Amino acid sequence: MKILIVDDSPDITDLLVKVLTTLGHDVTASDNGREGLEVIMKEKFDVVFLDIAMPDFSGLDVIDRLVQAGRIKESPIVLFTASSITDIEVNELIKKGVHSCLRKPVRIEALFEKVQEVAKPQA
Amino acid sequence: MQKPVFRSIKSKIIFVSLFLSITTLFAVSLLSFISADNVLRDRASDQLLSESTNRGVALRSLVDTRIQQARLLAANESIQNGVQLFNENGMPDGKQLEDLRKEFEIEIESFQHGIGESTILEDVKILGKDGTIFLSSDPAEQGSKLSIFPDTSSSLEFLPVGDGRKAVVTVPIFEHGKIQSKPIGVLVATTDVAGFDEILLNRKGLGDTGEVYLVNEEKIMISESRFIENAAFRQVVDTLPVKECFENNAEINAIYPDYRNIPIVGFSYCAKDLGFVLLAEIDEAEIFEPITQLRNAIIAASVVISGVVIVISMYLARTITKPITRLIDAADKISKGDYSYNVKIESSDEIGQLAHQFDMMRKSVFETNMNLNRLVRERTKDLTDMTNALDATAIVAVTDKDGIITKVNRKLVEISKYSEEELIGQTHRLLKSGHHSQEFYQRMWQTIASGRIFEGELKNRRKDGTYYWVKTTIVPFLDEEGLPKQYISIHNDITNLKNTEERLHEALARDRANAEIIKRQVEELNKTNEELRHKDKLKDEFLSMASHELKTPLTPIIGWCGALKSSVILGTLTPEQRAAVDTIEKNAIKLEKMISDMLDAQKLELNELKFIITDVEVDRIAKNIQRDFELMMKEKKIEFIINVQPGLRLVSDEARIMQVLNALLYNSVDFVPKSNGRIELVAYASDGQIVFGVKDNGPGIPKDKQQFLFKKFYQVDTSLKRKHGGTGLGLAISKGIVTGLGGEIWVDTKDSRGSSFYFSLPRESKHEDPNSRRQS
Repeated sequence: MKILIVDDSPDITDLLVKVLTTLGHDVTASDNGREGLEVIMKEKFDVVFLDIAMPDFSGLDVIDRLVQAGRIKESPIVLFTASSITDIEVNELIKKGVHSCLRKPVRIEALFEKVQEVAKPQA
Repeated sequence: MQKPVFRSIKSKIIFVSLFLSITTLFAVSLLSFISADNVLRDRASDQLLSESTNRGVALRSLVDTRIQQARLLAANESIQNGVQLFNENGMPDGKQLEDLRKEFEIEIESFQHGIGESTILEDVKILGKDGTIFLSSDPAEQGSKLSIFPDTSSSLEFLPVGDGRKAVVTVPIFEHGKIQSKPIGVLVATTDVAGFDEILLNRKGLGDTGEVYLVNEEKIMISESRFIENAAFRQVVDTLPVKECFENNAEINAIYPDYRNIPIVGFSYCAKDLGFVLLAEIDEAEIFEPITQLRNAIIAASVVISGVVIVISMYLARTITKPITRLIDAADKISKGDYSYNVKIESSDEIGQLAHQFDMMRKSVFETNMNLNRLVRERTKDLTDMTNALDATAIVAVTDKDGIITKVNRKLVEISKYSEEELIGQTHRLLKSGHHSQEFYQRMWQTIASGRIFEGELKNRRKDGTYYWVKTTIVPFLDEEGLPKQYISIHNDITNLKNTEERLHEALARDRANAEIIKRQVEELNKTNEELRHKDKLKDEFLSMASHELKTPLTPIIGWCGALKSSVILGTLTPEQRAAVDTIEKNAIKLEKMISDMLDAQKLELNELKFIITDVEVDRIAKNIQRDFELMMKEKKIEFIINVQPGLRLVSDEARIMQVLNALLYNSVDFVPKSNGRIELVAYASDGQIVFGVKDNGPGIPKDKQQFLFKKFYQVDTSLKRKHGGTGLGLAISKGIVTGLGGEIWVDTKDSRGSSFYFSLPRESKHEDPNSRRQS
């Protein structure tokens, strides 16, 4: 599967790239929102893990641009965040077309489950 | 204001009738005059034109005839030869002259014979080259000289001879057979003017004053005048057509003054080449006489018509104005209050109808008037009663528009202690206490002067210097233009009321001062509170940020632990390494839980805890709990019993219920004994609610500590040697969640027999959306 990770922390991108690559996925990483957005606009991914709290251009900015461009649903977006965003706020984003939210920190099993959940055709 | 020109209908009618008739007459006359003038002028013009032209042409032809005749005579061969001989040899001697003379007379006689008796050659002269008379009908003239020299031109001139006039013809004599050559002599013949006069003096077509006459280039009349005797060769005629003819060779027709200076209508026939102009003239007066007659007739008719019109219109006016005068008399009487006068006009025309209507109106006005009088009497009595009542109960004063008192009642005299005489003629300033400001009185005056009612309280001063208070109403009475003409002021004594009020005010002022001090204290307190709240908020923000910052580094820690444990990713670990990674992971997860608890506790405090309400199946919750805790319970050798009534459903927040159960279960796991530990999860319906419970066989909680259990950061055992970790937030958060979902949480514990935590939830939780700030 093609997976994109957008996160400003190299420790986190390194972890996810290693773990997911081992499982046989094609993993791309970007360390800022602006570049991440460009990549999403260019290519289609099976899953995008998107951090929210990033300097300069946040995950929410990425979502706004995708919504404006009408391409939010092209690559399923999974919010991957440690921020204190509330469930209600997450629900609002899901209504806009975001797939789901995975809160940091996360057990590696939960990460695998999430990838499988996204990969499954939507009911 | 303009004064009307006509004061009565009568004069109006007469004026209008006269105006109409005269105007019509005038218009008709004007048209008649214009057309008559044109007709007469045309007729005169036609007549004069034909007369002047015909006679002019006739005259010219007669002149031509005379000249031709003379030329014929001058062409006689013997005369021509005689002149040639004379020119060559001079005057012949007696015998030869005698012969020539005889021959000349024979020739003249035969010529006279030839032309007939109508023209009598009275005198013929033959002149030689130097103007010497060679032969003449009067032999005495022969040999004398005239200042006439041979010339090719011929002429006819009218000359005075004796008392009469003669026409003198002068023609050239040529050498025999040489007509085109230079003339050698001149023939002068005199004839009478009867033929010419016949043309000129004929009065036909010239009316009573018309005449035809000739004028020569010297502006002298050369024919007889109809009006002046012996005018020929004496009368100067310096008139327009004469000038026109000799200066411009033009003929005219016009009205102009003639030689008598009388206006005439004249036509000219200009024969400048013959040396005269013919004038045909008729007096203007004669031509336009019909117009004068017409004018006289119209004036006479106007006078007669005006007279008739005046008489008729006066009669008409009388028939109209007479009944109107009667109506005026009746109206006059009614206005003076006499309603008995009956206008009797027996006529069915408009005036008769008017009179009838007027009579009806008179009766109706009379009745209305009677009713009005009765009403006025009644109202006056009511008013008097009201005034008396007012006088008896209130202090009343009446002032004129300038505020001068004109009337006071007994009560005003009593309260002010001034006599009626002292008050009347004064203004209310007499009673001024000095209590009210100048603005107060100005406002009062502005109010009533603009026609509105003033109401207020006034402090007045008595004659003896003491004060009294009145409640005052001033009512302006307006005149027809809406301006106040007088004011009625009605006062009521409120002195006692005012005195009480003043004492009350003093007491209130004292209280107000005390209240001010308290208020200041409260404000200070509020300020302190505000500062505290602000500090609290800073603390919360710090907490929120800190927990977020702490969670991020935990992500790779927990993640790598998982990766290490999976042999696929980084290879297989030794059992010791594996144990180490387990410990790292376990502690990292504990840390994460503590951070989450802190965040929740903070949200609880900010009243920001939010719920996502959905359908919840208790069976599913139980299954998830079993999955999450099974392994751990087994590892810790704790007996874990799930005792859930099947099929329970409620509308609530599933994740939050899981959170509370987790907190309670972890709590129990911490407290159960190391061996034979036992934990039971129960759930059942009771009293329309769903009750969840977590029971354990731990040490239980002392009664005196139970009340603090749900406080934040509370630990039952606070000693340093305590063996139980945790933030002490779990129960506090659980209480917050359960309360937020509309339920209750409580503990049922007996010392040394374990503790049981229960919470109940309504079957349907309201979706509470606490009005709190959103935190991003």
